[in-house]
Amino acid sequence: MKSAFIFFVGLFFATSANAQISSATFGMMEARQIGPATMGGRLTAIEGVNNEPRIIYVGSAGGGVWKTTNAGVSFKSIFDKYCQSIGALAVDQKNPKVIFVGTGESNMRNTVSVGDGLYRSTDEGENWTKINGFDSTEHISRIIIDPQNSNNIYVAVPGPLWSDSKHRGLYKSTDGGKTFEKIFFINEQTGVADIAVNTNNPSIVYATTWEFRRKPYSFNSGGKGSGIYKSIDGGKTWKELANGLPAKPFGRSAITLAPSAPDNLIAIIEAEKTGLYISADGGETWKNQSATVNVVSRPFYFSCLVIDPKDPKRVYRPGFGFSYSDDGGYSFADGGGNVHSDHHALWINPNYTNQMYLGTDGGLYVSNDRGANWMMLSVLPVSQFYHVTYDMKDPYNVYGGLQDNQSWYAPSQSAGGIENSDWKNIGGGDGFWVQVDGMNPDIVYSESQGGEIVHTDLKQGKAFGIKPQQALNDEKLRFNWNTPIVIGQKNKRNLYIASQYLYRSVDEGKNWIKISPDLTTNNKEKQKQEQSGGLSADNTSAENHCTIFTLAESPLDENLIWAGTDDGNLQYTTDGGKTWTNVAANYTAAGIPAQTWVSSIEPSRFDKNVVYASFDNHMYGDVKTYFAKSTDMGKTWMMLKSEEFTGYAHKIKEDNLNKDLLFAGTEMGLYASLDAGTNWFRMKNNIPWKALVRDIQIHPVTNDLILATHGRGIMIVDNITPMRSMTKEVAAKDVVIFDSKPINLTMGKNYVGSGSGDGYIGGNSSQQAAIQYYFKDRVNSGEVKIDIYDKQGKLVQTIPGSKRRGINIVDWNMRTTPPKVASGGTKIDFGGFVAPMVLPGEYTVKLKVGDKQYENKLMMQRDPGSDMTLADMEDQYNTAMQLYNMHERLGKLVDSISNKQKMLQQYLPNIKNAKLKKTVQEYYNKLEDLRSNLLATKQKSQFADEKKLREDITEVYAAVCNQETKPSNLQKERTGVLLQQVGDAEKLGATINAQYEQKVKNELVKEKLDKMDTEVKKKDNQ
Amino acid sequence: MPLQSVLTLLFKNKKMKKIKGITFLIAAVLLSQFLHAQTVDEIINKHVAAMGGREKILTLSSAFMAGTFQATGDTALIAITSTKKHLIGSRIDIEANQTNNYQIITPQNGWIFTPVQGDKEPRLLNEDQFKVGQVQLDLQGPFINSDQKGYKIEMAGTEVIDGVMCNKLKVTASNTNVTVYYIDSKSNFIVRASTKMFQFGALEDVITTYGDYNKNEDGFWFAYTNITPRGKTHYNKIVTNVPVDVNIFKTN
Repeated sequence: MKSAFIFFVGLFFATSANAQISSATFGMMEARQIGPATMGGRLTAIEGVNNEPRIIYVGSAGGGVWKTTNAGVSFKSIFDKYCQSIGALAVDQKNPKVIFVGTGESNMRNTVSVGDGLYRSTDEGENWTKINGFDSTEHISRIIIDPQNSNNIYVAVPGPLWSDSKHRGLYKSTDGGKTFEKIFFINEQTGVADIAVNTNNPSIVYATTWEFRRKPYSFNSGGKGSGIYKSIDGGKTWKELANGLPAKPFGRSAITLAPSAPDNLIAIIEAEKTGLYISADGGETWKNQSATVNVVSRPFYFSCLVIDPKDPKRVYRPGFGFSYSDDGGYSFADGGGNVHSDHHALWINPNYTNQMYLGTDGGLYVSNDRGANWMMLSVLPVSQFYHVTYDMKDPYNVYGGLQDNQSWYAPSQSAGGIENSDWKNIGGGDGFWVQVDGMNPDIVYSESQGGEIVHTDLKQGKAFGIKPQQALNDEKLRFNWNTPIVIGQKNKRNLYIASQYLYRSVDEGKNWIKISPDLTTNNKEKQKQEQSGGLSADNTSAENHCTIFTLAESPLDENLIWAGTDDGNLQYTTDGGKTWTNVAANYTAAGIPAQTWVSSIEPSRFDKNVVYASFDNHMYGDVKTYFAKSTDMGKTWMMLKSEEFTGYAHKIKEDNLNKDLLFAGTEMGLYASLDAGTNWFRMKNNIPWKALVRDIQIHPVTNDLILATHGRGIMIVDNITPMRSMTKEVAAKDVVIFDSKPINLTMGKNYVGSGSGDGYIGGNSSQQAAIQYYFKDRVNSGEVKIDIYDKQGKLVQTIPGSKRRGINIVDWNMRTTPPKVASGGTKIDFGGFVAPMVLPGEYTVKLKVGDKQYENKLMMQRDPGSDMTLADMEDQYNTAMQLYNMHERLGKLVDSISNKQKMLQQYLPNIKNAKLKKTVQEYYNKLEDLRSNLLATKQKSQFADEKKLREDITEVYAAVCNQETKPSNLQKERTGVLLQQVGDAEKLGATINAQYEQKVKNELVKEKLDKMDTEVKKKDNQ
Repeated sequence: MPLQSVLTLLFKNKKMKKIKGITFLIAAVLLSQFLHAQTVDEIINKHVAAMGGREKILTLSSAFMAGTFQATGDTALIAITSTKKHLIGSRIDIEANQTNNYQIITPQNGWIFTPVQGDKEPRLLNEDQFKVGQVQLDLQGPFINSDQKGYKIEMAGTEVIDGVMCNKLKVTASNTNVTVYYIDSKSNFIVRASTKMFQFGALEDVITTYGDYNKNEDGFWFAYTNITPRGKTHYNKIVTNVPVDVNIFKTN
């Protein structure tokens, strides 16, 4: 009893202590979402606001919901805290503040994600409420709001793809979406795929039911449960429609009606012979019509069918391509324009039906001529990566393959941000793994589905296929849809690829050595892919099974290689492939189901016996998160568990430097552990909370965390060093300034040019010196600022500090405070905004928090990659400081002149003596003559430039400060000339004052207006 | 192991009955931390108390604030003063490049004059700017006499801001301005305000982060620092209930 109580109390305190480190601790380390958007990911739903069609919502397969308020010029993501797989959207057109989002895409391909229910917003997407009753639906295909009564809402739920479910069916709300009731259910294998509601009589509802099932190695669309049904009482009772329809069984059917003539129905019915069917009497009778291949192809994947809101004859069939009909569906033609294939959503502006928005596997398009021509809106960064890698260039490039959108690479930083045009194509098909050769950074390997690997020489522009071929006595090779290509971590020369066998090449894939037997279960029952598809054959290598899915060479030993298969085997070799040991039984003993996909393996870089793995069992209907760790070479496994985990597991990654720092990616989020997997937290730092994180890399030089997401492109969390430093001991302190590596003094190389500014632009990392510190709690009282001092103790610059709880990152531009330039005149002189870059050396950072102060050192160093010597830098700094000081001297002179002029102006109206008045005016005018030669005083507009001494100094000063080279001979010569001119101006000022000041003062005494001297001096001294 | 699992584990053993009472008590305390959802009034009351209390705030009639403004990405500190007479007028003056730039808001109209940007004479604020600027007039804030001033206040959930859990209150003014205030659930100070504003024709959220809460000499609490996307304002001095000449709320 005592021990249990202590355990309980201990739990409480442990929880309290751990609560100090959480996602919020690292909230300031925001991820950069670098795109791309030049090839978007799959879009699944589009809904606009009829009365305000510039407002459009777009749902994506793995990138959440996006909203535009300018008809597509720009978008904002509005669903980042929730499930990112979107199946359906609906806007209440009577009250467009109300929006519904059905999560779980319903284009049931092999890689389709899952949803977690239905959400409702009553404020145009600002806030969302999850609606009870849909948590286990996994896929929602359609939401329709009764056009006459917004309280009536229908939600079509096909339901889970990989398992039976009682949650399938048609749901209805009669209270505006607060509660729902299931009103139509066939069986646990059959869901509702599509619905249509009569616009004139909303009690008439049509529903198509669909029996379907995927297994890891096959797909079946069709069965007794599939059919077309009609209700005339708002879903209370249903009758099946059959008159004129093909013989059952059906597969997936799409149905739609003409909003302007709702008795006109069109359906595409998957059957033994898939066809197009038309009804003109509300579905009572149907007629089969001829159709193009596009209209009837792949119905399980293309389920979109739309009739123009005003013209019942104009029908659209977005499918593999884009087809349209002008005669109510009796005949179709294929649309034109340059548009990505595979269409899933179409929204037509009801006020101007020429305008329509199309969602495809490659992004969002708009047409203003009813689909004849399309323009891509390349501002949606919803690309779907499978994997990511990097190279060692500066800036480094990221590489990865995209679902249905080939393989690409792009720099991690670029002029003006990472634009669509920065992304370069490097392979075709569906892209998956891309690897950069370990020895030659110009050789890149990419692949398309089923192991079609290509060797590309970026320098020469040559590419050729290097896929291993079946050898004598080998079985037919089985390559996974997403075949692993891996570079050796210990021996970078090693290139690996796997079918059911593992191959290694040491000559860039030109020749291969098979280094394993069949490592899979080789279960022949799981190898009948030719029979896959159900009513419509569908065998695109997506169902290939009994294959190696993941592999890794130990960073400590090139002979230690791990391989995981899609049918549950996890094997390793310690002798470079001569012998293999299967540890599948060992991980199942830890509670991970047998035959689970091994989705990633991470051999530790600190201990050969330690290995991490992730397991994905969702293809058997189990979406739980499985991560595990072994410390004895796979003999025993320990599950890594967390209440935070959601979604099936894709990737586990050990940090390069801190063995206790782990990252994990699932279908619903990114997680981190700072204690070797004991505790985990969800990372939310500008990362959608339930992002589909497929791959994770850590760059060894920049320490950036690089994420491949399947719906939000590539994300980069710059420099995770603070995470490595964050321990319980650190977290317990009130304030900690973290040590920093020596910082290179650079002005941001690779920033030549400014980019086009078109389309989506991903941010660059800061090129400034990051000062990182930790606050145990947010600072609410007391100012936070950072003073930076040089080694001589001179204050170089003061920077406002952030005050959030957790890690704070403040950038210092590595420069001094700008000079105080001469003020006044008719234009702003930007010399007052420019400052010299500091010299290499040790600096002191003083973090001031209210009345407390914390210190640390910061070492600034010459960039080893720069062609500037230390002498060059000193030359630049000294010249810049000469000009800096000139500005300050000139500023002082101008201030003095202005103050005197101000005083003279005050006295002038009071002076009665005409001679004195004339003298004072002369004095004033002489000062003005001088002032007007020191700074621009006459410029009337920015289009009529005027340059005087201040502006002349700035021209050279700014150039010298902002160039990454030593000053030129003429810059230095010019500096000397300007120095002379400043001196001359000072002398002239002194001469004028000598001529007038005392004389005027004496006369003012006589006039009893003798405060001038005192006042002016006082001003001068300020 | 989740708390619920621990409790279940404990109660499976009949011998553990004696500690049921204690564990329930602890569990109740713990769970109450998660289950207790605060009402709008509770949040407002705590906030108002943290700011010195309703009675004290009601005595606030004017304020003069002086400090510096540092534009984002810039190092120069620019002198800024703000003068407010509760519900009568608000004036912000910024000295830049020897020019006096100002913004004036009154219940009737608003003006802006920025000679540093080439203005030759004051300009009327456009309607959206004027509407948003109205919040500056309310020196006592929207949580004092809210109904009387026409504010509609709703709970808008919770969110972690700057690492601290905040209650979100959505305040809709009678002129349809909408601002969401993020109030630190521990300190009860406003950490952030997000105001809907038209920027280049589109409705955008403009976020202001508040900090450096201190009492001035007269005992009124103020956030001495605020940060917007444009820069940071830090007040060195705030004097309150000083006479304010209403003529300063007219253009020169």
